[in-house]
Amino acid sequence: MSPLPDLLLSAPIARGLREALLFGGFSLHLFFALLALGTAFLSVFYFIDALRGHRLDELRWDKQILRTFLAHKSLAVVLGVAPLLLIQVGHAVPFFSAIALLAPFWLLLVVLLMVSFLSLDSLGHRLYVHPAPHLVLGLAALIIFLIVPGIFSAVLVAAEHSEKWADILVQGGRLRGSLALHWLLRYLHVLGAGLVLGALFHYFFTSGHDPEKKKKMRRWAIRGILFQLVIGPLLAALLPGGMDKLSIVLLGIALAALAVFIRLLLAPVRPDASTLRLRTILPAFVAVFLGMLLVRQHQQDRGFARVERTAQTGAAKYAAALAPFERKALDRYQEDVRTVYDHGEVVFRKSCAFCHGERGDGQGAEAPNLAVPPEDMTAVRSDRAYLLEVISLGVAGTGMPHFDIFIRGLLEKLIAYLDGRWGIVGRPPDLTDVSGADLEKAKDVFANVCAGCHGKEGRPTPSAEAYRPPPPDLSRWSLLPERALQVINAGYPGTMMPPFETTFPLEVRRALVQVIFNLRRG
Amino acid sequence: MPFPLYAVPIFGNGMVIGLVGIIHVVISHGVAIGLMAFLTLAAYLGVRKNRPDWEDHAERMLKPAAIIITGVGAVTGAGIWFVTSALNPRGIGSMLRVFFWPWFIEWVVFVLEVGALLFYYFMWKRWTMERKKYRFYFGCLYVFLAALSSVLISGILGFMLTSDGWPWNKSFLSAFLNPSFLPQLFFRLGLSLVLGSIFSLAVLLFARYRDDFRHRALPLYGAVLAASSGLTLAFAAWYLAAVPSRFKAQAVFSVLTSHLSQHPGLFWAANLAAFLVIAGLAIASLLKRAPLAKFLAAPAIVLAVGLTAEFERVREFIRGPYLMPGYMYSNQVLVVEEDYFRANSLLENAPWFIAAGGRGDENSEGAFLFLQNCSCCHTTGGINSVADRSRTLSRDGIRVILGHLHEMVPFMPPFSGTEEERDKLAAFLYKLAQGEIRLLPSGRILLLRVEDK
Repeated sequence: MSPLPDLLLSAPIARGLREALLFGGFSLHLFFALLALGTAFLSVFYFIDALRGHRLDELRWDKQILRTFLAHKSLAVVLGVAPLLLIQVGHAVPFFSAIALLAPFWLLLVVLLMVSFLSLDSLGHRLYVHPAPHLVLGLAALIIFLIVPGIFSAVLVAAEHSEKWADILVQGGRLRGSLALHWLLRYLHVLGAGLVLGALFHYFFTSGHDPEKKKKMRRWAIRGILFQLVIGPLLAALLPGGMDKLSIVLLGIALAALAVFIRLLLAPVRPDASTLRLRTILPAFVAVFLGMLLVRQHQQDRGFARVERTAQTGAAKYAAALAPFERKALDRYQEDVRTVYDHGEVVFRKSCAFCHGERGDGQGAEAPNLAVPPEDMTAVRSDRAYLLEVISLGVAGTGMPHFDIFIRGLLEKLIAYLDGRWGIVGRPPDLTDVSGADLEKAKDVFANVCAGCHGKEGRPTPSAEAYRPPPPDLSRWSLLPERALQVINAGYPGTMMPPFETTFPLEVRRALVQVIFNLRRG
Repeated sequence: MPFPLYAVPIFGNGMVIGLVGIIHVVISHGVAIGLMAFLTLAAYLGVRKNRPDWEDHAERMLKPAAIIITGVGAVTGAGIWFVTSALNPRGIGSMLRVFFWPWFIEWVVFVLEVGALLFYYFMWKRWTMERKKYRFYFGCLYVFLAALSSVLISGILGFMLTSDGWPWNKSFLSAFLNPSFLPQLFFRLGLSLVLGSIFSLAVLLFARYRDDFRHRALPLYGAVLAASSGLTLAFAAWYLAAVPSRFKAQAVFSVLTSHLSQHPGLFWAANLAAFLVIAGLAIASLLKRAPLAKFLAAPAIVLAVGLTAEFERVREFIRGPYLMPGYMYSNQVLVVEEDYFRANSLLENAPWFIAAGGRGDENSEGAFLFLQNCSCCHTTGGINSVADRSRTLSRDGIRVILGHLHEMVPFMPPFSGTEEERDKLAAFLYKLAQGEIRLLPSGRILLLRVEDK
């Protein structure tokens, strides 16, 4: 088997197993996520209730409720990782697309979860002593925590509706119209389920044998169910895309289980407060829960299938188109790993030569594409510090970038390499055949013409510093005589440096080169 | 590209992934493995020598540890996944397929780990008298499970730097048991002890204890800190030896960045200072100098966390330009796509961009080319802003450099696209750098909305 050029086409786990694990993992995750939601709501509610009525006993109970949050939320987080893994492996296209479309909200999840978890977990600490800050912290944490299922629901809604992706994209990552309504109902349905589950959990596990507490918890569970009975039918009726037969059958089974569950929940209250039994209520609850989730799963698969079929064929075609490029890419990679940017020669060859040329003469392959031609490096004579400055800061207004992408030591090695090859560090040779009279004339020319930009001492004037590119500092930078004369004659293309070939006689221009050399400080 | 792209404003995509990752590493190594190991040790000393002050020390650390591990450690652990799913879906999606089973096993370990922690936390007070020994046994179990996670993650993260023969043979074993797997694993375990001993030492120094207990406990902490620091340094050297020179050459730069690259002395000075402070804390503890240790504790925590961040930064940076060496560049472009896009156009192969109606508008096209090619590391006005990077360059200079990005800057991926697209990106970058255009906030997905100034 040839290695696939696109790994996203490979399936590391059998489909059936993957879907079973996804369903199981998601159900477990949701179970604890709902418990965490319900617990967060109830604990904040009873905290406020206890404060209002100054009931210390209720406050103590509230602390017990709160204490279980650590476990619910931790298990929700760890159990959520498997569905995340499996959905990314099984349904990469719808899932990643939806996440990217809602990216800002999705990224926010990490912060929301951390803030709400830390706040709720530390809420119980010294609760009796400082109620006011706890009230603020608890309310804020609850509100933040309640946003979380909203974001998850939005991502799943987006993932299931590929036909709306282009709209969501153009709307800058917002759900609108029927999708927004569907999202709202779905979100409320999750909150309702959280309330039912949370109330039942605390009925059995934190209310002890206190009939009052149990009564309160049962009432919350009934309120939650009533809420679900309003939201659920609306959600089913307004499903974008409707339901198929299998969904309807599954929903029927879930509703039958729901009827049993409600019957158990509404059983007449007996004085011993042991009305609800975990043995009977749990199986009924699990049946409702799993039944509803099967409907959800099936609807989700239907939504995903639409986009996955086309994505799969498109991806296979694309992979085939890429295949011919593979050999070359791997060879290039091998060559790349062998190339170590740790000495001057490599840096010159890879980072400089495409402009300055392999021979350093400024005739690199890209030279013709630059308005300001790359300098002939063989003709440069400067000092190390200035060269370092030019290389690390670049030359503004040209293609010469700031090579601070290499550390100083490597740039020093580069300069040593260039110096070894062309002797770029140092002064240019003086012109010995220039007459004193020409030298005097040239000094005048420099003072009256050149110094306007280059400065009297060779350092560019402040106004010239603003040119793009600015002139070089002639007190620290020179070119070999021949090249210097060439620049004076023809000017420097793409810069403010004009040609002087016809302005001054040759002797003066040659003397001017020497005048410039005399400006060198080192 | 199969998925939409999103650019995080100001921070940049890489920085967001890095931040979440570093918080996770500090908690998962320093608290889950390190501090919990000390807690278990304290529980052991409490039972074995019947010392209530050791027990009290362990108990004091338990609740904050449980809250931080589950509230921050676990959330950021899943958070790295959340963040990469949104910012680098093709990268994480491909990694998941190569390492599906290690990741699945890692999940099982994660569930067991958190389950064990919850059990430990809720049972602690019920384990009294004879049953106190369970505080030790289950502590050991928890630390073992937490450490097991780093075995699995070392293989996966090691692959991202030393993919070894995988690009050619696509063999899972050569990917997982890559050359930096073992040294990285040992390094991480050593680092966990360093962080854990500093964290629990801080509890010992600053929480209310009797002075005689503090004096008895200090040398033990000092000894573990000294030994684990030495070992961690040795493992770091071993790890570095396993990294190909091509990547290693970028290590110092990765820490200094272009802001400080011309002052490499700072790198050595800062690392030496960090080492000296941590060594100082170890010696002060060994010599029972509590006031000195107190003085050094806060800087040591900051510096140890800084060293951890430095390690992760170096590891993540030097693998550049690759996300999966030999397969995918950091910007989610496959190495085979480089030539493909040069011949067949990037924009024509960007279904999301086409679907959103971005084709035809010069600025939008330039912005999308930026988004696909550069936004994994660069922003348009925040950290590592591409506008800053190209402010001094001429337009033709930008164009020339784009054609040689990878050879000129070894850690940058090559530009992907046709010659015409190279011109478009150059024009976009030039206008952006000169302040002629700006990106509108609501255009972060696919960077569609660009405004002429």
